[in-house]
Amino acid sequence: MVNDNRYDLNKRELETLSTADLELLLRAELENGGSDGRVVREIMGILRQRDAENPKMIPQSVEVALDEENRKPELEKTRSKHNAFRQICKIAAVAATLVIVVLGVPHAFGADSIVELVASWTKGTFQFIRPGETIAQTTEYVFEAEHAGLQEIYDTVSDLGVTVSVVPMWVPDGFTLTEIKVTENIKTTTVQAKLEFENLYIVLQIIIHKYTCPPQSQLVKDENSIEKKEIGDIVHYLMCNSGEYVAAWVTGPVEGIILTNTSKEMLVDIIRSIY
Amino acid sequence: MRRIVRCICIVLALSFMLALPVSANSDDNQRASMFFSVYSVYIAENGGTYFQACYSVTGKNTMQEIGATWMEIQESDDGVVWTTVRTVTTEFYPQMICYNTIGHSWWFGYSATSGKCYRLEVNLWAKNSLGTGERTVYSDPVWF
Repeated sequence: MVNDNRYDLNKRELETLSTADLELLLRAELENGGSDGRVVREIMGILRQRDAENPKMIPQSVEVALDEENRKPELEKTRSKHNAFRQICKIAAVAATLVIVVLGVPHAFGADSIVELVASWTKGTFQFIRPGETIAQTTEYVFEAEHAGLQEIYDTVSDLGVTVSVVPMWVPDGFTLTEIKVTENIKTTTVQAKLEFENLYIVLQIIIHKYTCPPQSQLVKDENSIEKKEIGDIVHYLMCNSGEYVAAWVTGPVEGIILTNTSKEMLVDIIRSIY
Repeated sequence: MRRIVRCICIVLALSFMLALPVSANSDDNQRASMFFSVYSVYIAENGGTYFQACYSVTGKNTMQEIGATWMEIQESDDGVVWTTVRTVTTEFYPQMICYNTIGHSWWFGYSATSGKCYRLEVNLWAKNSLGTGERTVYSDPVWF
């Protein structure tokens, strides 16, 4: 009710204003986004009425303003669309900046990144590496498994320049070589060879140190004590690791390790055959 | 009296802080294993600033998978506080793990900064029909 009284009062007041004043008031109301729409409609009603009585009273600019008022919801929709688009653009710009920063400085975070990676391949391998970075290449020897044996291991180790006795000359009957591979780095060359017979295995690991340096290998063992056996003037350390018998020794620049699940006696016999 | 109690508290707190990681590390590395027989983690260098971050692991019998799942190159100014400067994982270097084999040796080349100390932290990994095994092993630190 209060609003209606005020509305009537405003209407009366408006009718007392001149057309020019009404136009000014209308512009002010339209420019003010939070204005009361009824005031605008009232002014327009008075102006139309005066225009009917005296045509061309309403200037074109006011018509345009009225059109804009009528199209206000539509314009607001368009504006909100523009705002949403601007926000998306802002988010995209921030995200792009973050991506550039994170991917551009991977070294600082110790993270892997596909940035700066280059493809590298040989006849049998393919890999991605960073320029200047190098990784190990392992050589796996191809042999005829049916007839392969200790001689292949001996030849491989000899080819690497090892002159000390390190390869056994005997293993129990039935064992054949199933795997042999060599990996080299700037300090050592590692030869791993495996002989198998049914469920039994004998693994020979030979680490050839190129410079004078202490052995690097850590052998896993159970809580039982270590047994020392001097064979061929070299101390061999014998131990167990959950049912596996292990021997380790050092001779010249070579670190030798034998692993087997046969028996401790057989392990000692294999070591004896080296010298 | 208060001072003495304070000192005892500080010593005890420091002891706990230092003892916990040491015991966890030694316990992990000194027990028998159903997966690992021999392993080594070390920095191979020959006088310059270039080095190779190396590991070698030999399993118990043939493993379905053997190698390392990740390797961190860590850098230090004082040999006490370490910062990881490079992480190498199987995601980018699948060669870190080998399949159906007795063991695996692998290295990664890196250029050190002169005057800094480096060490490796490697997570060794093996899988066979019994399950999977892993051990986190540190190399000896090396000054450049």
